[in-house]
Amino acid sequence: MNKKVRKIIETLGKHEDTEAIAVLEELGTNSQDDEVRELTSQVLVRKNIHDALKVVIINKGKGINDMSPVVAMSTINEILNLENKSEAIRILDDTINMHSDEEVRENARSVKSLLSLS
Amino acid sequence: MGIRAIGANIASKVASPFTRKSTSTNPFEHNSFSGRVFKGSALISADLFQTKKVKEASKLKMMSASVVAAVSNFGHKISQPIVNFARNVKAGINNTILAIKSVPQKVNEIGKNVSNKISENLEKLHVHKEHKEEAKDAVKILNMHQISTKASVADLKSTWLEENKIEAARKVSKEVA
Repeated sequence: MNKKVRKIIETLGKHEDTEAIAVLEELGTNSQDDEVRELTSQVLVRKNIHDALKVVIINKGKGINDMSPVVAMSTINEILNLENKSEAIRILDDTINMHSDEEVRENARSVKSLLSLS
Repeated sequence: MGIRAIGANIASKVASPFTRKSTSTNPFEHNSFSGRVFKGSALISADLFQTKKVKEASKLKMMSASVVAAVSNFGHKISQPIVNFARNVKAGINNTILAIKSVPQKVNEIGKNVSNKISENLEKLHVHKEHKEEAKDAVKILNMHQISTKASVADLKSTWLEENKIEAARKVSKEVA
């Protein structure tokens, strides 16, 4: 990942425009580059708002459900480092109770267990 | 014979020819039973009572005929001015109808002109909008210094996409080499 892309991702993570989340989801979490997906998931978690956390928690193949363990663990680590975890816990609960995919529900359950231990 | 008797005879002689010439259908009218008492029963609807009615009917016929003639004369006298008047009215109505028929055409022409002008203006506006949108959609590639939260999300996105293209081109060139 070149410096320019890194800077763009970090800038979009800090951007006040909510459209930035859509751009990060479209270009970042769907990127072929693991580094790009990892950094994108991290900045989305750092935003700590519902729409951003939803992308990395409930979508299969993204964030905590990424096929790359590095990306998934990095995202989980970012969630554990959140100062205010209430929104993340709420989304994890909804995912555990209502998501149609068993694998996604299991991942959410694991992350919630880690959060309760931390 | 006194004067009164002579007068009476003369009256009877003078009166009789008129009575004989009467066209009445009454069989008892010619004095064949004069001086006798009629003992039969007289019917109300007998011919005896029809003479006056016939006269009245003929009078009525004459009167009606005269009225009809008078009316027909009157109609004939006034018919020509009425015909002329009717012709004038008809001509006036025809002119009015033609005028009314011509009005929608004029309105249609006006409407067409207005709609053409509106469509032309709309086309101009559309073209103007398209130019503006093209200007908006124009890809703005940011350099490293321009990438900040002050930059628009669209510009950041376009820069990211451009970087992806450059990266893909590099990979292809490496594979070829």
